[in-house]
Amino acid sequence: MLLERTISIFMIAFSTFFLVMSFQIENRSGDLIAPGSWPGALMAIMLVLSIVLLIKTFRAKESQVKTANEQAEDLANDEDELVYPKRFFYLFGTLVVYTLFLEYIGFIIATTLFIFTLSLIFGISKWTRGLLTGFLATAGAVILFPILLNTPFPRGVGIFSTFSLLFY
Amino acid sequence: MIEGLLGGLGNLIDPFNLLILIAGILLGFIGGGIPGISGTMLVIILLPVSYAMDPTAAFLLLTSIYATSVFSGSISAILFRTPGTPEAVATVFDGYPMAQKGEGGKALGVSIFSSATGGVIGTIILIFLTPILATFALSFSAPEYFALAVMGLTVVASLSAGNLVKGFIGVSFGLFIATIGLDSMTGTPRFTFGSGQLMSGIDFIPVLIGLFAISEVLRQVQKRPRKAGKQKVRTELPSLNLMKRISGVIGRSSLLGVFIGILPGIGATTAAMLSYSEAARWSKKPEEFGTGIPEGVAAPESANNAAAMGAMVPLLSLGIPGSATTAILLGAFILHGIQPGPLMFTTQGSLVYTILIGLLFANLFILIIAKPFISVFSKILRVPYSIIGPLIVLFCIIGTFAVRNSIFDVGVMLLFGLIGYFLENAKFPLAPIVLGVVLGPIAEDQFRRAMQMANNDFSIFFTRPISLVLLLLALVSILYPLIKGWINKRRAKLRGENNIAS
Repeated sequence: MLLERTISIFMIAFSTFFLVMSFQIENRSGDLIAPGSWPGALMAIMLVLSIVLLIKTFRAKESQVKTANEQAEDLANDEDELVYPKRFFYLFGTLVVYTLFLEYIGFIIATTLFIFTLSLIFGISKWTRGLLTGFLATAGAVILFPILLNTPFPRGVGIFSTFSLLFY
Repeated sequence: MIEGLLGGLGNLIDPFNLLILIAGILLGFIGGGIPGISGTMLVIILLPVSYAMDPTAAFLLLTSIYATSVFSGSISAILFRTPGTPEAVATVFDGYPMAQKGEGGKALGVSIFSSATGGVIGTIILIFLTPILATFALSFSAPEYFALAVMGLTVVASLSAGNLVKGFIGVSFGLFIATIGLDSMTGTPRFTFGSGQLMSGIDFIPVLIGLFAISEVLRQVQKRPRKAGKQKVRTELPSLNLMKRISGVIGRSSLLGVFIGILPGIGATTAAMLSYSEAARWSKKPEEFGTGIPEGVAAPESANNAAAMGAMVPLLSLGIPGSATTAILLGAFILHGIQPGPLMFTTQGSLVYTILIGLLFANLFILIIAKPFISVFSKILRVPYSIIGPLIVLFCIIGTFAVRNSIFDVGVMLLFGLIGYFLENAKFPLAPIVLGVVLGPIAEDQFRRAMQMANNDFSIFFTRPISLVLLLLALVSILYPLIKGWINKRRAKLRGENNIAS
């Protein structure tokens, strides 16, 4: 419930901000339906609904009739409590760091380290195994994408770029 | 149409395509079988591999994965009480009790047989209905397409989670995301904040991958690693007698499944749940459901495969996806430079018929390949999530990156992974957002085109019969849950008053 309330407040802020923004989009063509009208209307709807949702979170206590989908979800989520909440932050942090550095140190080194770190976060039993997963996954990806399918991968800068040229 | 189908068969027999089809089927089996990887996620993961293939091979791969992952979710549902895919949730109800009674092999056999039958029935209806609907849709113009998009969005929003408000917030959010970038009608930049990358808009592949795959991995990482089950079973296909016994259930559930699948927004999961309760209602001994009877496995399994095929009907004939996975398939078509819709039968006829024939074979192959697959399945389950998880993440990143070679897109994917994670925790349905993003450009462009056609007269949407009918259907789909909720509340209130009076 608390999460729902926070999200609805976020959404109110989001939709208000972009509602104002859509009014500021210039209408060069002079049409009745300006480029800003469609997003503006959407944000107005979202704003109203988010307010409704916020109000609902304050008075929701009535018994909820569960839909088939929700029942199914409950069953699917059966017995899986989230026992390692910290791993969420580790994983997301690693993802952000990887994305930021990918451009500078190139795919090969960044990915090997990245997959190794991830396997540790996911709780691999032996770190050697994680390192092996990192090497194999990177090798597989490099062979499949830049070499076989000609996808251009980030090479990195300076020495990293030279290094990547050895492979693809 | 017959020539088209024969041509499709000809394409399929090409050794490379056949190989791709079988690879797709096996991948679908593996992905569906492992809890934590759904068919949707697997299609997402394999998108980047498909970019480089020619369209025929790419779509054979993606659609066969889609078709078969629905079946293989039942394996772990029956054996370990953990549905491998959400679609197999209802299979647990009778499948697991059967396994406990020592009839696991029989339950798997029933599941194989009913999945294949349901899938084939679904595909046959798909093959016949799609061209008819496409021909009909050829007369559509801007107002009809707008109405169609609106209908698709409202149905999804009102049915996907039972919470109207959340559904519609999702839809408007998704539609809004699609407006970022240069306005396609006038070229005016919208919400770009001077950023060149935002100028070209937010591509929907990163949004999809983030919402469905990254958010799921962010959840899985916090869970206790699952124990590999050690159950040895011999799969036995149903005997002639048993086939006869369950044929009625399979027939009814398949038809129900296809019908539900065709309706936009209600996917295979709902189809399976509904057909299970329908089967119990039709049965002479409804009390036996849940105790482990073959009918209880046959009903959801035939319905979910049939529904998965049904969901392809609006995608191929109208270009409107009916579920999250078909939305991703729509994205895949666009990436290959193909716009799904009524014109596809004339411009890409050979491809469409090859896909249709491929789906038919994929479902038939379930009968042949499933049995040997199940015997090696237990070994696959032993690969821990600590290896699978990082690989999923890697594929997500590559898949996102490869669309436009943009690291910015990877960032967008991460952002939407985070958004998806929190929204799902707050029980927001994600499918409406995805459909909003995918249908956004269609809805807006067609709306504005229609307004230009009619010189800004809104009545154009209500004076054209097809558009009027579609908009009315949209209205009904919004009002129906509201009215139903109101009636339920009243009934509860009346009952309460009666109780007090007595």
